Amino acid sequence: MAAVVGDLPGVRARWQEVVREQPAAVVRISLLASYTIDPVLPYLGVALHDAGLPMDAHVGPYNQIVQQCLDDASPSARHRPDVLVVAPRFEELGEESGHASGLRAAVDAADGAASRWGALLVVVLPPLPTRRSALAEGLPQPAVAAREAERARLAARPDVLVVDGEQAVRAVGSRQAHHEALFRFAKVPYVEQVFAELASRLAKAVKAVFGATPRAVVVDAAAPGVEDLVDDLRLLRGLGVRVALTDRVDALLDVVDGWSSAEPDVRDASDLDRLGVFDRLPAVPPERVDPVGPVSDGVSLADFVAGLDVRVTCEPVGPDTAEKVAEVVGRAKDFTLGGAPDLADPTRIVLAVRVADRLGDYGVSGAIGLRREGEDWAVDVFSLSCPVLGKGVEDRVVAEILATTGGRVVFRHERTPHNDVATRFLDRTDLSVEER
Amino acid sequence: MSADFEAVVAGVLEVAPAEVTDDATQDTLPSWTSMRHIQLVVTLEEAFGLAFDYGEIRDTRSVGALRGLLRAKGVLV
Repeated sequence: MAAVVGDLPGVRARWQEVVREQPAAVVRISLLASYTIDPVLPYLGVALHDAGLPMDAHVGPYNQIVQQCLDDASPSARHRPDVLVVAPRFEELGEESGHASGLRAAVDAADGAASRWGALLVVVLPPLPTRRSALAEGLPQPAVAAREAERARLAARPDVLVVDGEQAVRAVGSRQAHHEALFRFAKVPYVEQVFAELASRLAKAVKAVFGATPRAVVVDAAAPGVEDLVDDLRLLRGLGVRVALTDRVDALLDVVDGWSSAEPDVRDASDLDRLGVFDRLPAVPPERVDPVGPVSDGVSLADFVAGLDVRVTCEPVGPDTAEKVAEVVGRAKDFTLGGAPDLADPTRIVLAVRVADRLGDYGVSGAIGLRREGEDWAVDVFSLSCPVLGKGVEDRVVAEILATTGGRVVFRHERTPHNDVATRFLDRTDLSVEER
Repeated sequence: MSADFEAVVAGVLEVAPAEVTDDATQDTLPSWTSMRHIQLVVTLEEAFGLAFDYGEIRDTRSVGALRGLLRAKGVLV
C-alpha cells in the first residue's frame, strides 16, 4: 500500500485560511461527479495554492455529469472553467451494458463540453464498485473491462488527462476506503484519505498543464537505452514539451531556464513521470485503443433525459412512507419551497413522490403538499431530493399537480440561502407563483 | 485518544471557542452548513478515533447533542 497523504485536519485548516485570504484565482475548475465530491476541495485547493495556482472551484450538482455537460447554460458552464474534472462512479452509472455505456456517455458528454468551453478535460476513471462481495467469485469483470476500454480510448487523446480513482482507493485500502454512514447521509462515498489521495493526483494533472513543470526535456543521446524513450518523447512533443536530444547534456542544461544539472537523469518513462511531465505514464500501446472510435458528442440534453426512462408516481402518504417523506422534506435544501411545513397539518394533502429510471429505483424521493383554498389549490410543500434532480422529475411532478388540481393552483415559496434550484425552476415556468 | 472538543468544533465551524456552547445549533451558527456538518463529523472521528453511524450523523444538530454523543461513546469532552 502506498503512503497516504498525512495531517488531513491540518490541510483542511489551511484551506480555511486560504479561502479567507481570497487569493486571485489562477485556475478555474469545474468538478462534476456522480457522488458528493466536495470533500476533495480542501486538499486540491491547498495543493494548487502551494504550487502557485490558486483555484476557483465550482462543484456541480450531485450526479448530473451528462446534464451539466450538455447544457451550455449550466452552472458548471457558467463558471467558465479552465479545467473540467469529471468523476463518475460505477454505482451511479447503472448496470446495463456492463457499466460501459454509462461511463462512455459521461466521458463523451464531458469531452464535448470541454471542447465547447475551452477547458482542459480531466477524467477520473471510476474505482471498482463498492460491492466487492463478487470478489470471492473473481474481479468485477464488467467494471474492469469498462475502465480499461475507456483508459485505452483516452490514451489516444493527449489533450485529455486521466486520473485513476482506483489508485486513490487502493492507496488507502479498499476495505478502509468507504464511509457508509456519510454516503447514506450525504452521498459522500469515501473517507477523507481517499479524497486527499484523489486531490493529490488531480493536482498533479493540473500542475502538469498549468504549473511550473518542465517545458523542455533534454535527453543524453549517448546514454545507454535512450532508444527506448523515443515513443515517450514523441508523445511529449505532441503535448507541447520541447524535446532536445544531445550528447552535451551538462552544457545545454546550463542555458535552459528553470533547469539545473541537479535534475535527475532521464533514463526511462518513470523518470519523466517523477519530473511531473505526465499525468500518467504513456504505457498503453496503440493497438489497445478501443476500436469503437474516438470520443464524440451529439446527444442533446433532451435526448439524454428522455433516454433515462424516468418514472414518477405520486401517492398519498401512508404509514409506510410517512417517515421517509418527513426525512426528504427535512433534508431537502436545493429543491424545496422553503419554510418548515407541519406535515401533520390535516388541512393539507401530502403526496409522496416515488422516482425510478433505468439507472435505478430511488424510492420515495420527494413530497408535495396541497391545500384547498375555496375553488383553488395552493402548493406549499414541493421538495425533491438531490439524487433525482436533473432528470426532468420536477416537470413531471408539476404535470401531476396540474392534472390533480385542474390547473387552479398557486405555488407558494420562500427564498432561502440554498433553494436557488427550486426558485429558478419556478421562475422559468408559467406557473402561478407567490413568494412568501 | 483525546482532543479539545471545543477547539475542534470551533476550528471546523470557524467560530470563537466561546460560541461553542451546548445550545449552539445548526440554526444558530450560520457557518454550520451541510458541508461543514460533514467536515465536523469526519474531524471528530479523526480527533477522537471513533465512528458515527447514519442516524447519529443525521440527528446530531447541536453542540450539546454532539457532546452527549461523544460521552456516550466513552469520550470525555
